[in-house]
Amino acid sequence: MWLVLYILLQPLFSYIDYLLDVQVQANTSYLTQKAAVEGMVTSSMKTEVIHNLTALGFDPAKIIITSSTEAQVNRQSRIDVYIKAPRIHLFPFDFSSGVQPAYYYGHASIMSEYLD
Amino acid sequence: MDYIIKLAFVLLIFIYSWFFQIQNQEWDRERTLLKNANNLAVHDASLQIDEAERAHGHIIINPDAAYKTFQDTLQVNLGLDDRLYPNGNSKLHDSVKIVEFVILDESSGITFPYLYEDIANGITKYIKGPSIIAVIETKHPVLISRTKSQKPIRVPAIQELNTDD
Repeated sequence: MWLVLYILLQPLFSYIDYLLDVQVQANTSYLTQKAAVEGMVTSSMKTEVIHNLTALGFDPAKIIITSSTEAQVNRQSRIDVYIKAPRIHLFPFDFSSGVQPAYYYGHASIMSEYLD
Repeated sequence: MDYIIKLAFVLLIFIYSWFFQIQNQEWDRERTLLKNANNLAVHDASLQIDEAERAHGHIIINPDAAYKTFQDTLQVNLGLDDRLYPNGNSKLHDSVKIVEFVILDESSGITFPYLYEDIANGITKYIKGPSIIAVIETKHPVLISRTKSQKPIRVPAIQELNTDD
């Protein structure tokens, strides 16, 4: 019975983990491209991405969005954007003592388009 | 004994299908990473406008600076070294190859809108202004070895400069 349960659950866990990971990457890229226009990550952009991720089931209080600058940077200066969100368990039964990844992590870097 | 054989068979099928699923998911993860990085890289490359030419009213992209910036942005976003091989922190498993890097601007002797066609990479698009087109690829992830090797993951990206403003 436990084997049947494992065979059913493991692919589901893997698939959900993969979908959430891809979504965090997609939102990181989206946020970065929007940040390039403004020259920084604005609070409204952060709110939008948190809203997107919350709709996927992430706890909004645990989503961490940071960037390399809090002030507007000029054209051709780099902006780095980071998103961390809590990760689901990868395995329904963990037979190993290895540490599982605790976060989905997205990082993207772009040059600012902003002209003062 | 009969039960053990059946159990072993079920386990074998399960492990094979699980690995196949993981391999497909890994392919999609890497494809997403490449596509996002390529989008950001062509964006940054398109900012390398020749200021001297711009003073004369021409939008010309500096090819050397654009290619250098394109590579730099790929390296930062994909965790690659100077030769575009993954460093310790990269999510990729193999090197990235720049298959194509094309700059279309006033120095190319074309007028916009321009129909850009690249049959080899499956790109056909009306280009409205100065643009950068890039295609990059990396090897297909392999969790299950097969006799037939899979095609590499190849992604295109196009960045057009809007000259209407």
